[in-house]
Amino acid sequence: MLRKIICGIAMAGVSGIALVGATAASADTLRIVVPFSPGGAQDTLARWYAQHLEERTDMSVVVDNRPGAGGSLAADEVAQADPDGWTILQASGGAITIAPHLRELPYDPQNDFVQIAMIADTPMTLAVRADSPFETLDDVIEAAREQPGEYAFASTGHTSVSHLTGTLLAEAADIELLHVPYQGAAPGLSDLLGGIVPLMVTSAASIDPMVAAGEARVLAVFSPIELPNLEGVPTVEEVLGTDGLNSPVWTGYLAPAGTPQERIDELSAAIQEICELPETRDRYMSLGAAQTCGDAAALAETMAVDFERWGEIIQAAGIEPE
Amino acid sequence: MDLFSNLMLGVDTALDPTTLLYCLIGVTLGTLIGVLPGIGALATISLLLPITYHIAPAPALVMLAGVWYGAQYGGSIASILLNLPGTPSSAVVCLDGYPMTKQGRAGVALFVTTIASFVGSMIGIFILVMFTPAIAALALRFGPAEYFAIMLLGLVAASTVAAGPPVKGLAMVVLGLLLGTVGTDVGSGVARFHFGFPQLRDGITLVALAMGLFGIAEVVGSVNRKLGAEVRERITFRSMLPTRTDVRQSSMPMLRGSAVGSFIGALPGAGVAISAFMAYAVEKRIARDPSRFGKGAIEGITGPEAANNAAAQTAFVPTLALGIPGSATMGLMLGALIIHGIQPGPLFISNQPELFWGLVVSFGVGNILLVILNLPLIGMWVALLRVPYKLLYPAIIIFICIGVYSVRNNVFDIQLVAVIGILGYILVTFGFSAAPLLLGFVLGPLMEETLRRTLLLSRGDPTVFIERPISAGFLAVTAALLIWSAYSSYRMQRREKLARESGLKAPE
Repeated sequence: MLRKIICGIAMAGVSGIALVGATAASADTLRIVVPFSPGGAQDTLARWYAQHLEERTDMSVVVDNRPGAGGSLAADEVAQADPDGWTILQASGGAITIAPHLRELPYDPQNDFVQIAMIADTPMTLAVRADSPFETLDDVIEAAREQPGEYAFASTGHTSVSHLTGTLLAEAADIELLHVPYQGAAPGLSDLLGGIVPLMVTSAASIDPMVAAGEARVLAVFSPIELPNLEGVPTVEEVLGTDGLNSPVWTGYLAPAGTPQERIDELSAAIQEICELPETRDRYMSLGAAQTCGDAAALAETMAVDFERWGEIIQAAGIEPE
Repeated sequence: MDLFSNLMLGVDTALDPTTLLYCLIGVTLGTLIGVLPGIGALATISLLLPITYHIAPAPALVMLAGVWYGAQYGGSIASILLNLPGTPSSAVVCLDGYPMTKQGRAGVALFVTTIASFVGSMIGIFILVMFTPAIAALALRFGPAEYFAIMLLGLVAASTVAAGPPVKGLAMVVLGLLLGTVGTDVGSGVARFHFGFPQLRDGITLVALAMGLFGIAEVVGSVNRKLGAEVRERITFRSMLPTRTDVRQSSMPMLRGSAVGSFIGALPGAGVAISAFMAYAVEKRIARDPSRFGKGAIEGITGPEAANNAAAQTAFVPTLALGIPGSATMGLMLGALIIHGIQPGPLFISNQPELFWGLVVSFGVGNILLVILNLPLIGMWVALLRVPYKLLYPAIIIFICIGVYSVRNNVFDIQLVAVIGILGYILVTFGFSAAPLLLGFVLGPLMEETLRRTLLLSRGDPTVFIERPISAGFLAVTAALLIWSAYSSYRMQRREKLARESGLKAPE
């Protein structure tokens, strides 16, 4: 008897998990491959689009989380998928515009994908602890000029967008900052709030609640964003008075190269429509994202500029490729 | 608002019938996946997360949290019965839990772990209720130097977790440290020892290592054992009750374990597994007769069990009070909030008091449910031992495969667990204990990262470790521990020598 119960529980467990796997495989199901674990801003974005795509079209949509190797596992998965328009990648900088400057990849970010649409910008910010002596970005630049290399900034990882954006600032302002990489935003924020590290380059989404609580301040943003707590914060471009410093942290959808153009257009129209919904704007606010919608061409241009920019920064900063 | 009205607010939320139901679902599921080797809270919560889109935030969070601490209860069951840790944090419970099963005391072991889990959780919850803001502020004062010092203390204190010759234990710690270096180096971004596999750029997962070393190795090892030679214990309610000696021997370890666990759990980044190892080390260090450990010492299971449950509760301190999640699983909890458009952060408790206090009260409710659930089930779990190996072990292998796959949705990890399993079998065959390897693996990367970060921030000046008071304190304790163990082993040697000399004079 007991044996039967135990076997029953075991079978139920296995079939339950198998069921989850099976839904992903059926036809007429759009699979959105997300290079991040469930629960983060990128995953929430994907599920927002999945839900709305299901409501607006007759497709069923599944979100397939494939975290790992800085997003390149997910990118590789999609690059190798059938270009039938049923598998798409929710892409962002890392694996597409940064990684190719640093290492050999199993896929070619320039030629293995076609753009569908751009959906968001999750901008970076320069943040300090609430009681920091720095009131403006100019204060930081002045202090760093006086003592080159004395001030450290936390980033969310070596050669992450956060690291490269900090490096971009140092290059543009011609100052020297010490880079201290962390594994993701959480431990870096912990040391920023604990006064261990004076500066941090981190996403608006991660710093926003700290600003709301009066624990941190944002001195500058790296591309325009509308958030109640960041109102009146200048962009780096405005502070330095130089053009071309805005570095949006784009998110967009890519399909494997060879996907029929009709299908791309169809998906693109549906995605852009969802992107421009008023409720999408509200949702983005809580995710610290800017509603930066665009068609395939706009995404292609953003990606090209991004690719170029990070290539230059990596070279200028002397970051060695592997 | 004062504490009482806060708690009343929490009771309102937590005792709402829907929330209560989700709490029950959460803890039941948690226990179940805790028992299943390989399938852990992380994977389960990520599978459940999409479902929570359709549930209100309070029941959703209550359920996910229930899975998390419920898994801590379940994790030790397979450790005790089969020498297979259900979760990595319960690996240390194998050391003394499995020998108890071999002695026919499985029922007692399961009974005391349930009680220890409950005590640990309740103490953790008490601390969560009383001191959350204070602990959160303290946790922020832990910079890389403090983390390094505390990890060093942990490594030194726990390097003796293995039974048998110290050299073998030490070798395993070092092997664990080496395996911990696999993956992308946080400091330089260079991927180390990945042998061309992109999947190894993120390192070996703890689940794959723990399941390979303990789970697969145990299954493979048992193939050659005589079938049916296991204990055929009669399960009566009496046989589950601990003796008076058991109770006396486990009450202090429970309290000490809870203290260790509550402290380590509240540090973002330290983790539940470390707290269990440290609690075990504490018990072994202060035991009058450390040689009993590894042979079924009851303190060896109650201390770590209380610790990992207390840590599972206090892990919510930095997560909820600061919005800084200490682990991937805690990150998922915050994800559940983000899904509902609730921003986690330092304002969470004041902006969402009914959610925070509801969650805290639900922890209490959930733990009571877990005890009610677990005590009557002990008999059924022990009966698991009667399931023939030919049915049980293939099922275990399947669960391990599903479990390691579900962590990163990666087939590579299944192949990895097989390779690690073979390594584990070889190690067991030659009498090496896997626990210190796991310890080195857990602590090594953290130590390296924090050491290098400290020195980076101090521009290479190591005196910061002594200049910062908290770090200096931990280092002093570490030094004292080293000197003390050197002295005690010297004394032991001398006593043995004297005994031998006197033995020569009067042979007996």
